[in-house]
Amino acid sequence: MSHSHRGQKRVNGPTTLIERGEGGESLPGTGADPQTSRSGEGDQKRGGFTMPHSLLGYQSRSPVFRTLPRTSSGYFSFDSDSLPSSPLMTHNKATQTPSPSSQVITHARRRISHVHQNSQDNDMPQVPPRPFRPRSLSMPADMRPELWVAQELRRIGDELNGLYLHRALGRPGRGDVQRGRGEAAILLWLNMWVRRLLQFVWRR
Amino acid sequence: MSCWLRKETLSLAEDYLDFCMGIQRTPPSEAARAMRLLAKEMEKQNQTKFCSLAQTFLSSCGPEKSASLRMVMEEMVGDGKLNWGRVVSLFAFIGVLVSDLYSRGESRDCCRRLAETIADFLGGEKQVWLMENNGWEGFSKFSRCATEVDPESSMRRALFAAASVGIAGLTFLLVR
Repeated sequence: MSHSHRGQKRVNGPTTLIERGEGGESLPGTGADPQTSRSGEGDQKRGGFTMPHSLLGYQSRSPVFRTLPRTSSGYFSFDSDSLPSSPLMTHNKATQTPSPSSQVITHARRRISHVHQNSQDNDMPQVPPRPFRPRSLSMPADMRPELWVAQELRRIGDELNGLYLHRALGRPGRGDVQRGRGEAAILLWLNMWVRRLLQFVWRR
Repeated sequence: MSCWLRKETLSLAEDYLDFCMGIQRTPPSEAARAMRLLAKEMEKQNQTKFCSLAQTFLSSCGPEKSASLRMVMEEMVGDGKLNWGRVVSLFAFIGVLVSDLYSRGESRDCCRRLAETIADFLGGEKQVWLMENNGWEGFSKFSRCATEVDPESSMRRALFAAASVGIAGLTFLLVR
């Protein structure tokens, strides 16, 4: 698959840019890329053109001679299928230059899928796929999940039980004299208020 | 007695789990109806927490869900206490778990095994506690008490209504 040339290199110069993964790891196989190691040859063959050395400096800047897809952001890519490049490129399928950020995202996605595919093709023993494990922020890192679940269920259950106890013990007629007195006071106040209202209406 | 208690617990657990899977039927007992009401209410009030718990449980339990559930139940009563609130939270959790499993294509047998695990635990190991608390009849009483409207709040509401009517009447008379 053409994705084996994922290493991003500038062909015509001593500087070689190799895309590195997280943690500075380079992709396997990018260092010994046969296509990119041809940069030391005398004549450069690009897209069917043979160019002398004198044009090399110019062709690196001119979009006409640019053979590696270089987008408006200056981001080089070997993936000529999707990224726009020189109009001379026959494989160019893109009609509009994506923004630099979208190019970065595209490359990142390809890189991830490429790495994923490499890991699948590998002969090394595979780690069995585990389901996504969302760790709750409130769950301590060193706690067993069963223990955490049990503790949370206990807490939620105790809340309901506390509500039950509060209602069961707080019912009128079960020795809660204080509440009975309060209700009687409110009823007296209401009675007085209604009487005054009636007196007011009667006077008028 | 214990066999009868286990059967009743199994019937209640199966009814609740079927209810969570969307199977419509009449609850077989008053306690089953109360469990539907209380556990669903608890699930609504703590929906995010229960989803998080179910996800954590499913991601860590492996294929033997019943064994992990048993561990959870044993940890839950690890402090030596059990109350109806904890029983309701256990049912609510398993309800969320089962509806998640069912939506992922798990068979009803898996849910039935979970119901049997609860029945073995509550109707077996905790049967003494269950009998001391009047069995599932005691749970029905608990449910009635837990769901009834708070008398204090109802009294307060009535007073507010009476005061509002009085103020409205007074205003009407004064304006006239």
